[in-house]
Amino acid sequence: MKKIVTLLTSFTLVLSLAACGSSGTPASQATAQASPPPSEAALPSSPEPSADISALEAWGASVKGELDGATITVLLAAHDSTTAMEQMMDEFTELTGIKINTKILASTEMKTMQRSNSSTKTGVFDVYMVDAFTIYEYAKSGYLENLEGYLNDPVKTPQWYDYEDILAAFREGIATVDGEAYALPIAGESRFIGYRTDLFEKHGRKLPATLDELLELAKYFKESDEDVAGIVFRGAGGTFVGSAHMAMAYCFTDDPIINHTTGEFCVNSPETVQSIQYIMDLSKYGPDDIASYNHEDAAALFMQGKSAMWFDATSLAYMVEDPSSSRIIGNIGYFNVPDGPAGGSGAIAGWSLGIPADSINKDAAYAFIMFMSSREKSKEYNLNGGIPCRTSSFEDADIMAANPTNEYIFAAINDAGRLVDRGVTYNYASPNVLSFMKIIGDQINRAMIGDLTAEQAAQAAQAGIEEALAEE
Amino acid sequence: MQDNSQSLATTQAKKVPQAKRQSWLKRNPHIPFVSPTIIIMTMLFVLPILFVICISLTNYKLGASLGQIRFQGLGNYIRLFNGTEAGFYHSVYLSLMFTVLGTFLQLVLGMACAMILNFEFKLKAVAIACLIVPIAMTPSIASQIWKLMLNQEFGIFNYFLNNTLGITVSWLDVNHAFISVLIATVWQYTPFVTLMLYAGLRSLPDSPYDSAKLEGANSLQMFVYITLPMMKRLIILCSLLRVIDMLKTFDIPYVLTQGGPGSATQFLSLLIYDTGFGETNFVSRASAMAVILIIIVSLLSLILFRAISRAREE
Repeated sequence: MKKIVTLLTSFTLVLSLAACGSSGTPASQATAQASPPPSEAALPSSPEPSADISALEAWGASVKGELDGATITVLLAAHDSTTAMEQMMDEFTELTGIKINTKILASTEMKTMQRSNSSTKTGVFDVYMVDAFTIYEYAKSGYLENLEGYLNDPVKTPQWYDYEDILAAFREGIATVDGEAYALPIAGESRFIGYRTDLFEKHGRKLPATLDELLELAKYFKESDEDVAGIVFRGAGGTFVGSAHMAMAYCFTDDPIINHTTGEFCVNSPETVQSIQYIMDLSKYGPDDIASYNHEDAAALFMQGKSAMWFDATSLAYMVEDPSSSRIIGNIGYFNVPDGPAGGSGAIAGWSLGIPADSINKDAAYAFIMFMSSREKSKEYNLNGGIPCRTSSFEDADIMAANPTNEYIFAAINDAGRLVDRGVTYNYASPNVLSFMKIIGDQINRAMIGDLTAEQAAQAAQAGIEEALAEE
Repeated sequence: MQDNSQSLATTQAKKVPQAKRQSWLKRNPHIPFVSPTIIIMTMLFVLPILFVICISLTNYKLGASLGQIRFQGLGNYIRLFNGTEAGFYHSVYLSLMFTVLGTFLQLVLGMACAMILNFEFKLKAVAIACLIVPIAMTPSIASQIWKLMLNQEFGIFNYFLNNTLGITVSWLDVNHAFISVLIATVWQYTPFVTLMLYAGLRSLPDSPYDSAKLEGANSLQMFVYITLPMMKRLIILCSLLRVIDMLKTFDIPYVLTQGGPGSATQFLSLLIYDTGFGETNFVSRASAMAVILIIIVSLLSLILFRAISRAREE
């Protein structure tokens, strides 16, 4: 009996040791439990007032003096901007002495990890890459640190950061809640339409000024003998077609999803039904299986020369402009989403860097965000392939020359500002932006394959949203 | 004398319980050896299942704080069966249909390939090595490759179909998505069935076949009346393994179609993922669906286990 007890106890202890060991997943690059650096707890959180931080190097030396040896863990999405930041991480570590562990996941999985870690306050991560559509949810749920204190501290936010240089549409549209910054933009995007300049020239077609003309163009090319789809976009269910619809919905009404005056959801309004019908009509002139297309499928079809037009995010232009895989290099042009009955699209999205409220390395995390999203480093970041979101980036000849699409991206972002002029915020204030986008997208996808009419899809989406709200 | 006999009786009484304990351990000498496995299995399987059951009885949503969690009893299960949860019955139907069709195809094709391998031919080792490739390939990578091959515009399938028959098939549209997922799954897992059945064929005795040949039986008769009966247990075992796997299939349909278009390939596993982690984050509802899936898998497994037992008795 004693032997059995001894054996069982030994095995239990061995299992406990095994269970306590940390492990990394194949998808992660490097993951480690963030531990407080020995210096951070002992020293004050700001450098001495007399330290010169007007230049990046001096700032780095000052940060190094305090936080040398600290380690932060950053959770980032698989994105071109992440690739650009990775190329700058060694430089940051050398400058500040702060080591970085990165975990890079696909967008949906990253958000799941952010929610599960923040809701349980694990303190594992120090920097989050925050989707524009989750900023309200994260801020109101207490997942993110309010950065107003950091921004107003001239020591923590040196002049060379230049917060005002970030385009207002991104500063206020994707990283701010109730007028307070909860994250700092790192990548900004809008929506535009890429088109085959050679096909347009061959057929003598002009760029559309309205959504109706866009539909006509798509129909023309689909029915032509060019063996191309008229247009391609994200048609798969969920947030894929949901985001495509949202990017056009504001062309039909200022309140396609939520009444910004009363705060009531109105997906079943006649104008929103019109916008859903428009997406359904547009999809008829796309490839036959467009209802299963994600953003990669859509870009692949366009760059293989199988579609006359491509409607997607400005930040994905690099995919179709890649000379190693695109067969239409030199024959691509871009134009803004044409106006609908209510005006322009106003689509604004992007990514920001924020600090989880449960982080135990907030100062080191903020130093990382300062470095990566600053004006001082923006040129290097953009030339590494990072998506621009600063006015100075769009005025820099080298950055514009490095990526010929930047000119069109800037035009699309400026055009999106017209929605703000109408007094409307594209990214409406709700913690459920993404989940409602999914609900709407699922119903639109069903309508695209003929299961529902536009009216039924709108009603089903409205019912789904109301049910979700009732459960909160 | 009396003291001695009493002492002897006491000693014998003390000895009896100890003898009983020793006897139990001697009767079950395997217990210390399987205990670690039982403990690990309990921690890795039983406890998570209990956790899922507990979550399914609440209103937990991913990201909610502990203070917001409320006990809901069977509310999540009721909404599954009273039709409130749109798509649940459809997903169960799709999963069962996929399982039946997929398992049948894998068994038939697997047996056919195993019979071919049972002959001696040149490059047999190469053929077996080729069979290993689909099994060894990560399902998500295989799905990416299939997605490219099935692309309507530039996929290789349509390239050959167009050049030979002049037709183009939209493989991933609402009418063909289910079949496409089925084809990819059967391609990936038929080699596993093939190798299992091939091993079984190699272990069959020759004497029944020799006797049958003497009595004038042809190949088909030998296959139907000798091979299949002798392979019955192994075939049922293969079916059991494939049924369990097919019911919880996720990676191939997730990469190929994400459950779409519409709900054409929204199997129960995908519905669970979509509900729990696809932006809506209703983990409690997803947990209820997961419990239903566990029950379905357990019931089917029980049926097949009994079939194996009956086959053993025969």
